[in-house]
Amino acid sequence: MKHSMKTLMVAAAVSGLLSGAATLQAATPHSTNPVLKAGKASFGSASLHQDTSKHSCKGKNDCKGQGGCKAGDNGCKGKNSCKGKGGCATDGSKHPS
Amino acid sequence: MPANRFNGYTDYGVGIGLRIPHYRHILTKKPVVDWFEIISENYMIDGGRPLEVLDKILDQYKVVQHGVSMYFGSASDPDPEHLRRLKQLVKRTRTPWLSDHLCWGSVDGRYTHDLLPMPYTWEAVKVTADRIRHVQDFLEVPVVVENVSSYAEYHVSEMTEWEFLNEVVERADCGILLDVNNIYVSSQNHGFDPFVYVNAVPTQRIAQIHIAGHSKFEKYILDTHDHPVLDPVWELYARTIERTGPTATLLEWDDKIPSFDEVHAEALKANRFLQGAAQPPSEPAKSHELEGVAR
Amino acid sequence: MSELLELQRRVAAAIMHPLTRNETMPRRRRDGVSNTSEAATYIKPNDRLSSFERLEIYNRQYWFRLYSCFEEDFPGLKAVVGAQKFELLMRDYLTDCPSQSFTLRNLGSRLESWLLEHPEYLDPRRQLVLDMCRLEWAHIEAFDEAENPLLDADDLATIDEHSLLHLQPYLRILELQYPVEDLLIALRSESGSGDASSNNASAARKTRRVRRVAALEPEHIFLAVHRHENSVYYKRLDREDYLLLKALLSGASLGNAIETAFVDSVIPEEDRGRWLQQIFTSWSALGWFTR
Ligand SMILES: [Fe+2]
Repeated sequence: MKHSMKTLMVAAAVSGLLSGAATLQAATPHSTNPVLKAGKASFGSASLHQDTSKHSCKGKNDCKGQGGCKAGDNGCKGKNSCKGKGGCATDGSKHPS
Repeated sequence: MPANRFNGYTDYGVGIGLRIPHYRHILTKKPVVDWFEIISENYMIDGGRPLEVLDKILDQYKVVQHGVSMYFGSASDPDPEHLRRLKQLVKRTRTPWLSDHLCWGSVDGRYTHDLLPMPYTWEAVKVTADRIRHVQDFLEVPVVVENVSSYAEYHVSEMTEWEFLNEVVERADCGILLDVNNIYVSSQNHGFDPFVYVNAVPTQRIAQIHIAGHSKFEKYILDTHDHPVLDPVWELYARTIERTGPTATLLEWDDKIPSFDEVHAEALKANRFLQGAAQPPSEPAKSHELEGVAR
Repeated sequence: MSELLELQRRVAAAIMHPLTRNETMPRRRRDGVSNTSEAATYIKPNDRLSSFERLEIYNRQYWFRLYSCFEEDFPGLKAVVGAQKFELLMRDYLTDCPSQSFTLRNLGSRLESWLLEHPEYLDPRRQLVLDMCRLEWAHIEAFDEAENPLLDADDLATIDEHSLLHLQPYLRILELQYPVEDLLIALRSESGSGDASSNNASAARKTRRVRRVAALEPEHIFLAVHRHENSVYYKRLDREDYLLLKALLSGASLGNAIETAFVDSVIPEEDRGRWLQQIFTSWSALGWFTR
């Protein structure tokens, strides 16, 4: 790739980075808890998220039960609660809008 | 004991274990609950939903950490990564005390994920007490140890389980989480009088009590935590409270978990005994009880 | 050696040894050791149970607990391998790779590399089995890996072609030969629906599951397994997306990663700028770039 071409490409990527960051910042709710704040980066009504994600398991309770534990004071313990059950969704479209 | 150096001088009432099927109910209905016990290992992670839920619970409720894999009685050294993550969680929850079991479960870096019974030997007393002291020093929070249910005993044992417990907690200078259901289960499996056990435990070291349900099979009893508390366990609980005075009490329900209200109502039955209990325990407290938290 | 350590090694060896087909403790272990005499040397019998039977309670409890956790982590793998073979797979994997972590979360951490050395569990659909294993492990990691702070205005202002962009620790990218994420989602929604208590319903579900797996056609796909608002998502990627992210993850500068992405690319040169802007907008809005 020619250097001038590369510079153009990088500029396009950086411009995307900035506009995505602006979208994200506009939608982030205020929170005093840094962990919650980081975890709550929401798009609100931003179309991007709606366009790229399709919930496939609606009506299914995230993290329901732990299932199948077989007895003991640590019967269901020491097991990461809800791992792998944090909601299952897929992305329907190839190119995010 | 109501408030002592082993439970950070708190006076918690009746709590229940924080369990996933109840998350939604708790976060939306915000029921009044004295306190929740969390399984430390479920939150010793770097991110994601479990920590988000935990933070919301911490905003509104008193929370105490209960671990299941510290294995104070394992002969091999503890995993430094485990200790590091546990301390990180202690800082997050500000738990007034932290409990784990008087058992072993790992050897040579391999984990059974079970609470295996100790041989009640003098060597094991020393190893276990040293480990508890080490963990308590590292975490900088009072550590209390819980007696486990067991289905086997070893030929090499040199004392009874309660003698072993007493030796360990004296040497480690730590508190006790007395699980009266576990005492009952073990008493039936090993043929001892559970009241002898309860009466032998030093009341001034009891920081917390566990109650739970168990399952009876033809030849043994299993600690299943999938039932309401059975009458013989309530009787042991009543005797314990009679000796200690009102003490932080927690119901464990881990399998076939019913609705939040059903679990909470079962736990609140403990109030029958707590409210009737005389405040000062029948045995005089030892003087060191008035000292600060041992570090 | 300490007596305590010696005892714990012996008990652990018995407990962690596989059960028989009938889910009982074997009388004799694979190495020839008799569990009957071994149990008798360190476990007291009582009036109802022999030493062997008391040890067996722990042996069974160990395997039941591990199986239930492992099954919960790899339901898709169970579907593609088949229930019977999956039982053997669990037994052999957990025998070879017992837990080395205080948390059962990491139970499947060595599964992919173990499977590569055990073709008997991969055949006849080697790539499908491996793909499903990778997806399910990526899901576990995406669920609870860290979420680092996002780039702030100062960070963004200094980005140029030499910058190293860091991605969220929870982000996993996969190159797969089968659309296993569609299969996994379909399997999950089936198992989460209907009347679980009815035998007929569960038999019908099983038949549907077997047909669904059998009908799955290969498709070369690229996938991001990531987290948004603490839910795990599967996002299809283009080949160029994948190559770019892979290069960034391996420490390439932004400029070099972009170059890598377009090697043999079908995206016309004149469209590449717009394409890059779009994907970086999308990834940045998803919070994938961190300090
Ligand atoms: Fe307990």
